[in-house]
Amino acid sequence: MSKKGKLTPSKIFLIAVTLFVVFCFILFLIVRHHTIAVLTPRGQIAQSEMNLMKFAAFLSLIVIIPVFGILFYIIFTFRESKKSKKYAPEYSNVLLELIWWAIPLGIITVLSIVTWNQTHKLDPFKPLSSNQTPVRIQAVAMNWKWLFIYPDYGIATVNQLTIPVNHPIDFSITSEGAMNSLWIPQLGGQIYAMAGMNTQLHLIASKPGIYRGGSANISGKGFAGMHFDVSAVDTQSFSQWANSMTSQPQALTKYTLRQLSLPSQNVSPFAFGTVENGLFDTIVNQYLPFQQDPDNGKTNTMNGMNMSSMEGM
Amino acid sequence: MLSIFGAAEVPGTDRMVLLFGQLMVVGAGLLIGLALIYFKKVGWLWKNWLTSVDHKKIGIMYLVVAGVMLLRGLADTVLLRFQQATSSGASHGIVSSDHFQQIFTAHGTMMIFFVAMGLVFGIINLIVPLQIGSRDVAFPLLNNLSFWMYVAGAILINLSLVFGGEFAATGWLAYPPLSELQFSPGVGVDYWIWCIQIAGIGTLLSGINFITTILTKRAPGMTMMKMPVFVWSVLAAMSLVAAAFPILTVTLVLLTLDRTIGTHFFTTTGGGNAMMYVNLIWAWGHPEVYILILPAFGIYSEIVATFSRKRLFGYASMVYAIIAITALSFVVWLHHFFTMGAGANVNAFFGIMTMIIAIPTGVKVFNWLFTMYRGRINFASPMIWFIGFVITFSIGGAAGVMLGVPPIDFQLHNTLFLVAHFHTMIVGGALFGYFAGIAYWFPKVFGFKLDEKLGKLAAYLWIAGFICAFTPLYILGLMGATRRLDHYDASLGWQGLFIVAGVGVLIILAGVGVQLLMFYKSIRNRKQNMDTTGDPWNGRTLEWSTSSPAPVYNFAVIPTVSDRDEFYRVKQLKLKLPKRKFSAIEMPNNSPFGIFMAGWALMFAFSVIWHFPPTIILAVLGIVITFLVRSFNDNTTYLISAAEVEAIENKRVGALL
Repeated sequence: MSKKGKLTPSKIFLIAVTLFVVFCFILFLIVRHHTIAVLTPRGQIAQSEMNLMKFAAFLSLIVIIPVFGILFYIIFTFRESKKSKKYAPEYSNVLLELIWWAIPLGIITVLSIVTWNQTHKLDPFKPLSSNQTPVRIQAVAMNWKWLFIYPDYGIATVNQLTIPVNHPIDFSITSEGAMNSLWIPQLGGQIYAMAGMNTQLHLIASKPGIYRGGSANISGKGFAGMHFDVSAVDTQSFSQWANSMTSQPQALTKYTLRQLSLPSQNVSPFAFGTVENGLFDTIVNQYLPFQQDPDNGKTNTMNGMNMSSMEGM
Repeated sequence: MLSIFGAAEVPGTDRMVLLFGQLMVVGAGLLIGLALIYFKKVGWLWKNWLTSVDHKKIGIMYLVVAGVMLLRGLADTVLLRFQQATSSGASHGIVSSDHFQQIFTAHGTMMIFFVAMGLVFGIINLIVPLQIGSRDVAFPLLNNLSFWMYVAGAILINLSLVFGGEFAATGWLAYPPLSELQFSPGVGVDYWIWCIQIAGIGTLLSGINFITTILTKRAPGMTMMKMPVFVWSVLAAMSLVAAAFPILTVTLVLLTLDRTIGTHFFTTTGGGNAMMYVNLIWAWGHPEVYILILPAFGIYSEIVATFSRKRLFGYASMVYAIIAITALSFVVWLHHFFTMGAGANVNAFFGIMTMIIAIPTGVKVFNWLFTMYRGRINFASPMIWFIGFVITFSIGGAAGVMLGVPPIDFQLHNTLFLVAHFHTMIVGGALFGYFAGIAYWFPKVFGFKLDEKLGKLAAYLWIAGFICAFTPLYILGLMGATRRLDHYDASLGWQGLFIVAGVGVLIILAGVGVQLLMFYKSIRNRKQNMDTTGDPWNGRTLEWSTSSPAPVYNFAVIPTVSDRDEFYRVKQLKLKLPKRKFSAIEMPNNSPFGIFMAGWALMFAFSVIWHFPPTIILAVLGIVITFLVRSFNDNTTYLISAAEVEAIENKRVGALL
């Protein structure tokens, strides 16, 4: 029935499908040698988040596939030119309507239950259970670099993170200036870094390797340079690394902190061999109207605005 | 400090880009001005258009301004895509990071407030009074003021390029503390605040106007459940405007106070709390998304029924779905910042509420599909847009459901996956709908059809370009690419995908080019595409029962409605047009009130931005005096005599029915 040279619907459809397949193939060629970070998890949290993502995508397909099927069936069957005998200008069907109120309702009910459970299970503020000792890291977003303090080791790094594999990593996160977001996709999802706040993030790496981390929230001029490498190493290498870092000459004190917090961009990684006690709390609490005692370094009992106390708000 | 050509320390190409932008704005302004003077059209423009209170003319002016702003926003798009496609590894692209951030902020602000909102209000203005069988909106003068406030905002955002050469570099919602003086000391954020503030007040007034219009000016017999679905969608969207825009106004006022008189609502110091701003701005921002998409849903509902030659499937379901979406849109705002760490209970609640919106939305999609089922579908260009919409919207909806699950959002938030998702909803969902609506209602407004061939070609290019531009962004997001990066390492392997996305934008630009050609050709060949019947598509609702273009009073005799598809019912009866008795019609006078008020508002905003008190005082006085002068004007309406009406009606009546 198709006249020569005329674009019939089936021809348009064929062209579109062919183009799309070629397009997908091009994308595949571009991507194939590179890491799709979110889909190649290297830690328990990222793994669970990816599984959840796959589950949600699967549920969505239950609706999308019929929609596409029905759409193309209707397009080809009920075109004006086909003069379909089934033409019914007043057609309505309450049963069908009920069906598609019910199907999405069912799917969303399932997904809601899963969401409720998983949101609690994967709450970033919740410590991970593990028989290995957790490593505490205090992350400070600055203009425009990340400072990581290891309070249990008395060292600190800038734009570089080394963590032991299979040990839970307990992040306490704050910001010295604009809002940022700490994100290491292969280990798990992000949490905001906000001035005067102390947010929590608990991650764990299951395999040694180097993973990219960065800020996911615009914070000014040097924002794009706020990325860093996370080296996940075995426990022994981590202890060795931590020990070797203590010999770094630079010390992180209130004074050097002030220097560090001056705006700078694309900062190369470096480390501080010693860190003044309670520095992180000082950063968090600096905006409180009443100041802490400057001499003994003891933190204010208010502990900033601890976001975990807002739970169940 | 006022520096006409912007900051001094920007790199060479960066400065050229800025200069080019400035020349474009100044040049376009001068060109339009000179052309008007040369063709002696200033008086005509003033009398027939700028001061008009006719909803149809205001609608057209909205569309024209939105169209110009679309081109302006697209220019930003091209720069963004070019930067990200080239700025990898050793190369740092063509603009500095600061300029790049200004460009994407301007792009977002422009596209939402001055393109999408302009198109929405343009189409609403054109069609709603006609669809409900009314002669005008409830408050025609207010309608003109709303339009001019919108224009004042649009002028201000363009002025930022010329005076100061700086716009906010904070992202389109300008989160503090980044948007506070401490981190953004320049005038950029002030421009951002005031262009939205002024346009936002216009939007709020418009929202109230259309709620009143729909509730009070419907033709006799048109009960709520007999309103066309488009009118329902507008009523819902305007209710959202009335409820949400005051939040925006107040939030912006608080930020203004922080920046101009040193309060501490959202600062880091002095007890300020930036999290409050984020909550407030999204309490407006999420309903805003539905303000954009609901009218598009309404447009699709009209189009699908008309072009399938069938009654809309599941009208009641459609209405309840709209109402459900409207209500739910106010209890999901926190899903924009699950990553703030509000705790599992709060996150889970907002996540579930978000997913529930998928239910009424899914129902609507199925209802549209089954409106086509057993129909006789005419695939005119509006239907091509509709098919593109169903395809992109389903994918974008699935992505949205995924983002609604908090633990998944932790991995996708602020990535290009998110950017791809909301562009799918706003471009593939809303914008395609507006384009479909423009193609559909164009003959009603101008009296001739648009070129269908070019219209379809434009739709195909837009859909293909859209898929090509945004599929790579979904993948990039999964690869760990956050949004708003002006530079990234070459080893990440992102560049290829950014280049593909850039090609997609070029295809979209080709689509825009075809659209411009379509308007040009259609206007040139309008004699061949005249719509003499007033009903070129075999329409079903009241707007098609009057002539194209509709006379200034819309309906000589207000129709009485007894069916949802009233005009379809009348056509089925195959009545001969009865001899009608005409009476005189009272219509509102044109007035320069809106243009003056918006002018003062513009002066006020510009003076506040540059901290210049004398003109602030002058502007306030101007507003008060203009208001008083108008209040004492009793000569606000004019009468069209019955004989005149009869003459107009006799001219067109032969072609009707």
